Amino acid sequence: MNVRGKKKFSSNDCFRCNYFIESTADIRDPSEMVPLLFEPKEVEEEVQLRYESTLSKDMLRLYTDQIQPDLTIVTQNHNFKVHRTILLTRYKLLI
Amino acid sequence: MRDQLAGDLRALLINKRLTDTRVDISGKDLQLHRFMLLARWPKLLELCEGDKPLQFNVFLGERGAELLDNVMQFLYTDQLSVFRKFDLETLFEVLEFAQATDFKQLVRACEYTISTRARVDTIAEIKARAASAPPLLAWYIH
Repeated sequence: MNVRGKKKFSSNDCFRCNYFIESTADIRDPSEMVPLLFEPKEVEEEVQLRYESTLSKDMLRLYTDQIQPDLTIVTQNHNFKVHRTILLTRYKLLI
Repeated sequence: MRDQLAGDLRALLINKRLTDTRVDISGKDLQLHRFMLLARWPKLLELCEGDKPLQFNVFLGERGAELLDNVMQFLYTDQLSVFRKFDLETLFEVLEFAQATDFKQLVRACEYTISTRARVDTIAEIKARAASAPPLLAWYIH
């Protein structure tokens, strides 16, 4: 039986709350404890806003998806449909 | 390598060489390159097919031209440094403009930049206005 009450401090008492427990008979085994009604939520993944440049992908998609190319370069084996302005600015070519 | 690409495209914006598309936003006539809009902002081409200019409050007034110039620099370079001058109020207005014109990269850039401006004195405003930007709201709630 637990008997709680105020008393003078001894070395075994809780100095913070000024209470003491005379018997530990009622302290339960943790394995017998009733589970919580609400399961604690798992910590969600950290939500972070990030920004990565898509400029090179956007430019590449113009070529790979053949989005309105305005110039065809003919070689022996293949025809390349490209964008004239990109050739000008990237390869300093005036076509 | 990426900086080189951004540099080349910025030069194209500045010297206006081979521009083939004119766009009117809030009465400001912009000479742009069609391939740039096709690659990064195709919705703007659709929106500008009519005769009327696109009207957005953020680009009206004294700072309108400067802000629009910064948005065009972002279109060509994808660099966030152009947003340094924007205050929080302006960033939210630009975000609304980007959402309305379906400029996805600009939306993400505004959301990211707004999140970096979170301070004790700005967090309440961010919370109040984040409802219209789901990623920003998710970031705020977290």
